[in-house]
Amino acid sequence: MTTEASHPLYVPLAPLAAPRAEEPRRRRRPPVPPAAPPVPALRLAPGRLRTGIAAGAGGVGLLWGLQARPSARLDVLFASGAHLTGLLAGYGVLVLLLLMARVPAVEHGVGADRLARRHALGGRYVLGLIAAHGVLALCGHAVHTHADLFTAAGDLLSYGAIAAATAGTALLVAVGITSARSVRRRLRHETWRAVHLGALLAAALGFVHQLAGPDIAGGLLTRWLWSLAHALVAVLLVWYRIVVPVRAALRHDLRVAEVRDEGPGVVSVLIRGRGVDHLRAEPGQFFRWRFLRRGLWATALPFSLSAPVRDDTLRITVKALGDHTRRVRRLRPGTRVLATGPFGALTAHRRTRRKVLLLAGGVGITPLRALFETLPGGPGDVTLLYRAPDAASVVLREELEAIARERRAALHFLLGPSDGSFDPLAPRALRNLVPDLAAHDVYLCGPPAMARAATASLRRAGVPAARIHSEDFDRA
Amino acid sequence: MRRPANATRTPAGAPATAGHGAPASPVARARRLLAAGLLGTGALAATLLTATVTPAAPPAPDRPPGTASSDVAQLSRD
Repeated sequence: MTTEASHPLYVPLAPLAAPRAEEPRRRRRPPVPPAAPPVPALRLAPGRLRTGIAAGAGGVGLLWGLQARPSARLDVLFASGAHLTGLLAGYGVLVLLLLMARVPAVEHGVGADRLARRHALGGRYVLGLIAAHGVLALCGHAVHTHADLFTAAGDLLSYGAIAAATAGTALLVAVGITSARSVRRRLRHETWRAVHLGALLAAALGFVHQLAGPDIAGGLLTRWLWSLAHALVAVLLVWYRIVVPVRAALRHDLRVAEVRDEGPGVVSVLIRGRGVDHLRAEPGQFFRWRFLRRGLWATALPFSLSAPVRDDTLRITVKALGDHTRRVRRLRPGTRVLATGPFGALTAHRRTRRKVLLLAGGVGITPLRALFETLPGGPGDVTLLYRAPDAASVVLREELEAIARERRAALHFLLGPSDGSFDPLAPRALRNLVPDLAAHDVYLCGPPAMARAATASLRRAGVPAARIHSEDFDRA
Repeated sequence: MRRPANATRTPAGAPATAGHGAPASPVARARRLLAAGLLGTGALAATLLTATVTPAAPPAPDRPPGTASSDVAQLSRD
């Protein structure tokens, strides 16, 4: 039996013949998934990125170690420490910028959420290293020149590069303060972002100072290599954060085609353009969307695709959680859209098992809806659990039921308040719904509290952490 | 899902163009061109930076005299 889907972006898969009674165990050919990109996307594995960053830090340490002169003199000890911490801080700033350069191979392999978390964690280390560098350098100079700390500070600041680096440090401190969770919650996104852009100026000011350091300035090749590292990161930033989005905007000419209600406070936005297939967006990925209309153009927000790309059309499903998302409901057809991406690693490439459990909470259904339709597999291989407070809060229900029927996939709506007496995400409840749960890959997407609770339950139910795939921006 | 180890092998009797010396796909060629372009631009920028940025710095106590920092800078300050 085939099912007519109500949504234009859901095209039922090829009909499957009804099971024959005399051949109950015969394997059925799995439904044909939509055409995959012809050339696989490049992906840098998270482990490789970690190894690369650690190797770079090792190289920087080696650069210092080969040139440092052992001595028990106090000024030498201070200066040696200052140079090591300064080098590592300079390298750290470079890594932080690289993580946010939106290089596709890194974004698709590591995942934007992991990158953001590492960027946030690395920022704390870098600020610590800069503080240590400043204190050690000041003490070293004071001891070396037999001056008090204030005189030494004044003397150091008379050097243009050091004054520039001090200004850069002040900018980085401002970035750090505004990124602290308690402060960021009170700031508008645009304000936080404007302050964050100051980090680019800080990096440039710091770079000038680094070239004067004895470890870098000691040799022409070292200076050139250090400059090359900075120049490459700058080129990547300009290319992937400016050139690529502008080129994509001109090439694809994306515009809002339709806005439709999906449930209480939830709308789907259909965006159509030219050659959208060339964006090579995979189910489970997201774009950063900027709608060019009053009140929305200044901010680009990430929304996952809630359907595979079809007929040059992208679809996102958005829940009104703030001013910006509320305005999305009032978008008119024809509104120009700038989309950068695709980003994210919550895609089929993470799958390691035949059986897959998709576990969605609230509007977290959006990327999983796209995966539910497209993940390759036969009947019974894919299960979707959708947690929502009540039936009215379930979005895309008809589509999900149609996909489940077509693929013979299991679909369960787990309804009830999050503080109810029965927890449908408890390990036993999950095992009741999915008896061989430990044999599954789990894709998880939902509100942070739900995702944390579900992860803990899955772990207790025997699913290894490496097989729980989720994207979590809350801890970034 | 892992790709089978023999996924890139040329099937028996298949034309030789499917093997190692096959022409790169347009996407792969574009990727290589982009990487070369970005690297070249970076190298050019690095060369300019190396040649033009020579900031001053105080003498470094942990280095032999005369080796620290930019020569020009040291001469101008010491």
